[in-house]
Amino acid sequence: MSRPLSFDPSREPLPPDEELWGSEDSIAPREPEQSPAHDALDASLRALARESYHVSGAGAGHPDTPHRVDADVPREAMWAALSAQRQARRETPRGEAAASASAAAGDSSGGDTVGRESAGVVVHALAPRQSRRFWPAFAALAATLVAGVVIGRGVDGRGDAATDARTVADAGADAEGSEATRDARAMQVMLAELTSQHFASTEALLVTARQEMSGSPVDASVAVWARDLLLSTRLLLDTESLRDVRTRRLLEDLELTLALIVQAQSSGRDADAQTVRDDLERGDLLLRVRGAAMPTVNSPNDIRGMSE
Amino acid sequence: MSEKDHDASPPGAMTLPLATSPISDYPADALVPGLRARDAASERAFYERHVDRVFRLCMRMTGRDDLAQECTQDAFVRAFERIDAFRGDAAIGTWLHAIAVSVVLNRLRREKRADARHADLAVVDQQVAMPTAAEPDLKDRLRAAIDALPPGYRTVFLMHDVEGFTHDEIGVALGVAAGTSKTQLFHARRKLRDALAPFVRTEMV
Repeated sequence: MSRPLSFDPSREPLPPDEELWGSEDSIAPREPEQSPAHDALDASLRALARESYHVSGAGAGHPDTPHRVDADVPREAMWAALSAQRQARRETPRGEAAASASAAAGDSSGGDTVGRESAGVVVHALAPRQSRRFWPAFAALAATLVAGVVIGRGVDGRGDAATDARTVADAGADAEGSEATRDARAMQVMLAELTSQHFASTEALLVTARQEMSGSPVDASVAVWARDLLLSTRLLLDTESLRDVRTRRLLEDLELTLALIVQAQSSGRDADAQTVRDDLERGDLLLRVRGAAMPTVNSPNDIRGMSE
Repeated sequence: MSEKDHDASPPGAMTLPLATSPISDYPADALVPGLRARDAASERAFYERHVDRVFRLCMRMTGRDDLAQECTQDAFVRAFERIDAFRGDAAIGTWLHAIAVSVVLNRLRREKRADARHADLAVVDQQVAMPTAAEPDLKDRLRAAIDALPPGYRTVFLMHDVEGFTHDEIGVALGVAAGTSKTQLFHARRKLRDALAPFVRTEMV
């Protein structure tokens, strides 16, 4: 399937083509031949589908039908929920951490917006949505961001020394490129560090979940923890700079497992909890997370999340 | 957004006399400057204008009220927070629906509902063809067949044939060309025809 449209950062990445279209048609085939009989049948099915969704949507006799789509749209309830969600995000320390981290990044990178935006995104990605118990994490996060920027500057300093031997005109041109490179590297280092921290936190959760869920329902505190990490995982997945396929795949797998943990707690069904247990026992997820949590940054070109 | 924010009317925000004029009077894209300025009135107007259709689409794609609500909220939150990423390549409504579709598809995937819905259509064929004492209504069979479609086909079929989206809009939502959306709709319909063939032959033809 062709994906001709440019990347839109507002969207989550869509599922792979094979999942979207099924394996048999994952490559867009040409249009099948259409006969008048097919046209007539399609029209009937289309009318029936519309009628089906709309008529049964009234749902008077079937309040639990999954296709009760034309029932009243809970406008106010959804608006209240999303307003509360946004308000909570504004009021959490994340905003302050993001602001301070962004300021730090901006100062260190000469005020370039790339550094500020990337810092903001990453802090946003790793900041839990709630609970004061994550204050230490925020502090660590801010410290990491500052360290990332400093490292980025240090790495780039070597490049600056080399420009001394060049002509003044070349040096001017190089300075611009050098600044961009410095910011990009700083962002890479920060992203790698924060991704690594995220995997370390997730590893701790998975170990806890595996222990606590052996034969018992999911504990509420574990679910809250999983929800926080789920948010971070999704936001990390949204980070455009995170291009490494393996890291993305691991984050996607994590996302699924974390969502299952949250769902298992909210549903209270043992079957859901069992699914999580099976997921944790059967797969190599924990092993992969453990491996990814280890710091592997040796050089700017060997940073997890940035290599193609 | 708080009342204070609301009253502040940041630069670029639109003044929308919501109490006196229907929201539909305003061109959808006219709200963009206000959205970019994080203006509360513009955000509410945008929500009012699009929420029904977004919710309906989410509801049809997920089949669950709670999931549809969550996906609708996520789509709007994401749209409000990422409005600066809106480039104006498509209408703002199309952009919002594209966000909603990706939110739903990923949500379904996360919940492993996609796997259940990926059930081979042959299974549905058997269920459809299998005579039972009380034959389900054709509508139920059709809905089962739609649910059994892979997510992409289901999305194309629901968006086009049920909700009336254009292929251009579907293409934006699924990140494919409009022509590809058209082609995939043909295949979705073919799969539905195949799945319903035994019943359709006896009841409709």
